[in-house]
Amino acid sequence: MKKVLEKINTITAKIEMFILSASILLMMINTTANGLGRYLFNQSLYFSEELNQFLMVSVTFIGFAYAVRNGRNIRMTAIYDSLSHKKKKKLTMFIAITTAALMFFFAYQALVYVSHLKEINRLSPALQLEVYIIYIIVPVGFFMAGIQFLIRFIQNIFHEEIYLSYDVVEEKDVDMKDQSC
Amino acid sequence: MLEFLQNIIAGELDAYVISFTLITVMIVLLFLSFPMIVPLSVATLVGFVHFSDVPLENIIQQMITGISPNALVAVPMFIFAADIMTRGHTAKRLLDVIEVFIGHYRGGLPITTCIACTLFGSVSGSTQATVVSVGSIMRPKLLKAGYKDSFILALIINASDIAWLIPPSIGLILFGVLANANIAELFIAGIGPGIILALLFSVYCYVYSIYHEKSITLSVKADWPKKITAIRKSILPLGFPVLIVGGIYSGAFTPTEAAAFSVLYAIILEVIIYKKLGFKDIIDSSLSTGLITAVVFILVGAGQAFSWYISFEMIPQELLSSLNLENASHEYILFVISVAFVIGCMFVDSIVVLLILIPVFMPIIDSSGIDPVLVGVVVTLQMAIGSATPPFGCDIFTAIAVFKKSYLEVVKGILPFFLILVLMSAILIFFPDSALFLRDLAFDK
Repeated sequence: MKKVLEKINTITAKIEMFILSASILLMMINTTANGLGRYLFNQSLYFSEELNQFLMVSVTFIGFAYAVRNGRNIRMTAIYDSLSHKKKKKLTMFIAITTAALMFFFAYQALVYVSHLKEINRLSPALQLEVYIIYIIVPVGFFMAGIQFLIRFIQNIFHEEIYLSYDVVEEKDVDMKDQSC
Repeated sequence: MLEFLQNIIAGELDAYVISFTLITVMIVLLFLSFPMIVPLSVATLVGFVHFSDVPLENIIQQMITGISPNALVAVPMFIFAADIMTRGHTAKRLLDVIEVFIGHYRGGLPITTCIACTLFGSVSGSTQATVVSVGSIMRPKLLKAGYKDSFILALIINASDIAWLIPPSIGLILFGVLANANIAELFIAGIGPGIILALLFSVYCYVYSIYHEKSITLSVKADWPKKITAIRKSILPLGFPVLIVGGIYSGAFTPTEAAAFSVLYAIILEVIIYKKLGFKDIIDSSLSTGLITAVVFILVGAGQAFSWYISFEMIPQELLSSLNLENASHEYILFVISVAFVIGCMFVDSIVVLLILIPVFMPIIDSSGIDPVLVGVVVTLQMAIGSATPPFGCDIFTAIAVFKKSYLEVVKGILPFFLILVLMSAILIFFPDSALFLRDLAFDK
């Protein structure tokens, strides 16, 4: 059972990495192609902005899940850092389980929103795609993030160290809040 | 007091009751060290459910709206370009060309650091990338020359913050999107204050090195063949500011396109011409770009939901009406905004502060008729100050992580730089032309 779960974990990580990396590269190609097209051939790509918008949604929500997996969030650790190991661990577990609940709640709300989009059959203006197909990424991203917080909670039950995700252990004196800027 | 509590529990639809509750929720969750998305989105949820009864799927809809503006694409693109350059050779080449010309003068090495940070800021737009790339090359040299480590660390942290003002700047892009200001104009307006700041820092470096004359050795003057090699090597990296500023200035590119082209240029430079990076490095770089972007953008999304809610309930208007800012002078309004931002940024990540405070101040900025471009530059400078200032400025933590130094050592030398930054804010508020002159020149205003 444990092996199966680990396998799933590795595969989903790979998928997230692929989507993230591909979205960023596509964004670059799409934007430069649009600029060059306009400049050289007087012809913009009619779908360029829309494609970028979809890529942003995928980068944000898949990337969010991937960031949680890697224990990378912006948080303020001033008070946390002054606590004893035992209290830190308790707080980490409390945060992990409540944040997991919040993420599942958002995943549910996003699912409601996406199914609403499907009902009214909203099409994207340029590409004429059904937008729910793209925005399904939003509930998926929140759900994956929720799973990661749940894993963080479980890892902390079974281990002595403080786990920030499935395989990231909190190091001493390393601050994780500096990752965004 | 009791009545106020009862109002909170009853969910009374009053601007003060709502703001007090939301702020308390945010601060408590923040200090418990929840990931930043939790305080931001839970506060919004409390507003939605407890006070206003708005359908919850609106939160999701607003999160998507928040990350949809096409101008935001510039953020991952500039992070991507910076990441490629940090892995490659660009930073070192820019540094070398400055060092061969001024490195041997008194104060030459720290001044080199200042100018290099400004120049690197003009190619990358990320302060963290600047701290890492310029800092790790210059710190050993400065140490060897006899400068104190506390001075060096403070110098690197603060000089890197010039990158906030010099285009491309992620702070200016986010401000432009949130405040609906023209990003191209913001970029051009940031140049003037960025250069003045670099000059002020350089003056301090000069004074400092005269004051510590005895303990500091001067470096050897570079000969002409060396100078020419350095110039030759830096010509291609200097193409970045030409591409970005020139492209935007001439109207050939939008800032978003300039960002994407600078990625393309960085790839051509580092992969094809210098052969320093391979295909795998670019993939790694795109992955780390995606990660950093997501961490910021999920907050931009959550911030949009929060901002939508407080505007929906007209909270900023009601709160600001009691401050009597309608007839206040522009200077006074900018002063109030600056103080709010600096204090905010000292404690919380500056992007979060931007997300929360811009919607709060927007009505007053609109009604007072202050040029939003000026506000953008002032606010971005405050974000720079906040991120270099204790207790929790994020550049301080980057420096701790990169240079493996204790918190106290990193913050010890910061005060003089902080004072210079305050002086710069005053210059900007009382002489708006320091920012707007170039903008007016470029856009015929």
